[in-house]
Amino acid sequence: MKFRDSSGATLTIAKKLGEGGEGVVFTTNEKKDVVAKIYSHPLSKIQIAKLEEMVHAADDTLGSVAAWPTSMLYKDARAVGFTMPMLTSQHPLHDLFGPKRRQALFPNAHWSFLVHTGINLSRAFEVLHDRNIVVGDVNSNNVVVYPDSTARLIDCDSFQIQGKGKLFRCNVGVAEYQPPELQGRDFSRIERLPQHDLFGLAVMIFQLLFVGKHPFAGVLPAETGGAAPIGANVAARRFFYGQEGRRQGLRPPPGSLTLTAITPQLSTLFRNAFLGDTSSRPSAAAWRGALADLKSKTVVCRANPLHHYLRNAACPWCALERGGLYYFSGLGSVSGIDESIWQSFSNADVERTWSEIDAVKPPPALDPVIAPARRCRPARLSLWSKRRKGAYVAGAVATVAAVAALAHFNMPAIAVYAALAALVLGVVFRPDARAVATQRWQRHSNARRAFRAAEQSWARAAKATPFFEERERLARARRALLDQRSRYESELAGLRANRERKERDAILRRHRIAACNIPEITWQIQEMLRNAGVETAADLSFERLEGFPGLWRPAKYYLLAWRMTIERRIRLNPRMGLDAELVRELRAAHLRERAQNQKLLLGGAASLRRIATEIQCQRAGLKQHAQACAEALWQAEADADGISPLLYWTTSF
Amino acid sequence: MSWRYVDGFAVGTSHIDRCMPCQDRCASTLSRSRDGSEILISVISDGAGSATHSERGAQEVCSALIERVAAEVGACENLEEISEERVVSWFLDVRETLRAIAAQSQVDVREYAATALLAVVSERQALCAQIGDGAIVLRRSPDAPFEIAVWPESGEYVNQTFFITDETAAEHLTIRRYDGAYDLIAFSDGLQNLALERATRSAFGPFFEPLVNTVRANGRAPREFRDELIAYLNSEAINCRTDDDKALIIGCRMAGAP
Repeated sequence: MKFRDSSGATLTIAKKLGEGGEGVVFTTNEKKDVVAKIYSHPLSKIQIAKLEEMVHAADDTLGSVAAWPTSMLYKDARAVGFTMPMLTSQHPLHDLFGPKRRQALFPNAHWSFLVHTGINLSRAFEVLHDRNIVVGDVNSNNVVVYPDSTARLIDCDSFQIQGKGKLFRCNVGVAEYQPPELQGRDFSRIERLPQHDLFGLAVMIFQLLFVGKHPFAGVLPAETGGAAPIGANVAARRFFYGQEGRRQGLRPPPGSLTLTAITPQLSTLFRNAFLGDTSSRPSAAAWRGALADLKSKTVVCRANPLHHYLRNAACPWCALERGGLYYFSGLGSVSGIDESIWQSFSNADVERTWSEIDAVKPPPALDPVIAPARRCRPARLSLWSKRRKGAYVAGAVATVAAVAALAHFNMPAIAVYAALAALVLGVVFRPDARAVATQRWQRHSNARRAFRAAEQSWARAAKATPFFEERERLARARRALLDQRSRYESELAGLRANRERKERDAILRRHRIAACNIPEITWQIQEMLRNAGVETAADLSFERLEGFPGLWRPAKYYLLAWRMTIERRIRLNPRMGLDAELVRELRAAHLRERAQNQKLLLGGAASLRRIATEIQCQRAGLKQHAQACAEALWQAEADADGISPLLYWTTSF
Repeated sequence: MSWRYVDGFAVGTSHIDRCMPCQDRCASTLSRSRDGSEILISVISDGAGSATHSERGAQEVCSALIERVAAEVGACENLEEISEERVVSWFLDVRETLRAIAAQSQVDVREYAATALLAVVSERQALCAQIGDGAIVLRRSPDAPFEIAVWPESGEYVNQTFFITDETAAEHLTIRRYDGAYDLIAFSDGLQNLALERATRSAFGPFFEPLVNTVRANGRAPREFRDELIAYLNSEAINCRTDDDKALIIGCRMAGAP
């Protein structure tokens, strides 16, 4: 199809690039740097006037920040579309701030890159607002980003522009990026202001800095149901990240940065943009300045070169990684980062840190043995209760009475009664050592258990065991860091060998036995093998063929020799690529391990000092406790020994 | 200008009798702000007696808070730069750390309940923050009296206080700023009866005087000196007046190089 542009030159459309609700975008044969958008419905007079106005306003500055219409397109003197600059290698903004897509599409983008994109985005709005152009339908689909962090606005024909005393409105908008005052309004009836755009700009900048989190998305207090659509949150001004939000019980979603990750200046700007009224929203220039200031204050984390953060704070990415969230893990890129893994915390750094750890002195060793302080006497056995004493006295009286009755008064019947009474009293109220003994033995075993525990704690403190355990843990981390590179490389070689084996297998599978052209392998043999699932060279092995007792032995050797010939002929491409996904996983695992060990080692000296202090402060108390337990044990032991077996057995029938 | 300090904690006699571990912890470190002046950072934490993991809680509060504060203070020009919001964020972050630990061992975070007492002092500024009990006492110049920087905050009832693990921790966080300090003493509730005069809400000078004098005159290695402090904390003179765990940090500003 042929069209004419504003200068009268002919353009023919070539390839369809994309299709939207309003029209189709094509490449052209004549101009490589422009694309043509052809509307699928006839244009109204207002639309044509708006496009003509836009083409008239076009210049290089606008072209650098937006896919601005450069020329009208006519078909038979009727306007049917326009041309605009061709954009290549761009991605929509949400592919940059969303962590998953970012790590795949912008593998080396760190936080500073996102901040810089924010600067470029602010500049784009600045240019448009300077010319009284309002974007209107601000959203992350209408902004594209390039690998060099420049940002451009697209879908310019929906912008609101001012021309020849006439206002050309923007009729669309997405709730997530529209300010509170426009929520639920009919966009075709209102004049959009730059301040409305600035709300959307603030949201996008927030999403860049907070790696995809929307400022108005989060957890509501339970009594309000926990969640609401973002549009409703915008209308109610529920900014989840500020003090104001905290007071209302709003919580950011788990795994979010806090406002402390950015400069106080930026926090104030966000608050003004999200909570202030229309006129107090910060301008694009204000954002640009504040973001440039933030960028100048970022530093690179020692644990991971992709962690960029505001220098006054601790690395928030490391903190999030401890919770299992990897926003900047180096998962994305396959090449170029390998060296930096080993350079970010080199072996020399490891050894320097270790020498610091080595210099921490253990607490002096003390004698872990608790020696008896004094001899213990068993507590007296109180077998003689008051009641028993009475009974024994009565028994004794009865015995005397019995003897007297028999010897002096010759009254055998009374003697028998008295003797019987004495016997009954003696048996019923016999001294019972068993209950006392059981109690003492129980106490003894309790005391022994308590003492064992106390002694163990004391011995650990006396020998400074926790200190040496921690040092051993650190030594392991050090060894792991020192030999990690060789481990990584051998695992990488393993991946390569695996890959080669697979490649070999694939080639062998392409050689079918049916086509082997060995006269001795008759079709009957082929049939038999095929029935058992042996169809290609890859299926042939000595073990497999042994499973065919009916197979003529030389035929087996022919088949194996055939396979070997093929194998010998295989020439693998030495530069064969590895499976990027597997390499990425391997690298990610190593980066995680490295970050973990590095953190352990960097905090090692402090943690050893802390443990030494802990031991030093605990010793006195632990020793005192062990001593007290020991004394209780010795007493219990003496008490238990104080019950003679003779007494026990004579009283426990 | 430098700081000389000593810190230590000791188990209370009632804890020994009941076979409970010491639930007080303390930590101190020296940091340097970007203008080169030395800054003393001290943390004391007292684990709740009623919580099962409060010993670990107190330990984590100390190490997490001190690490975080040291990193941030080291990057600051001076202490005035640190906003209240930032101080609140330190404590809330420590709470998050405790939550993560609790979640890992599948225990309610309240079992890690502990108070938190933080003092950050440079020559010209002092920043004190507190959730719960324990107190900080300052002396601003050699001949000034000891004054209360942070008074122990108790809850609704006696023997009840606020913990960093509370949902409302941020509301009970007290933050005070002073224009520098000459001596700093921070201690846990075990020593409150000896060091504070409740009636007048003032510091008991005779308790502090010998402490700071000893530290200032001290020339021994820090470890030996800590042994001495611990022996003091375990001494009969202290134990006859308190049976609770006790933690104590004494910091003195020294003229000239350390």
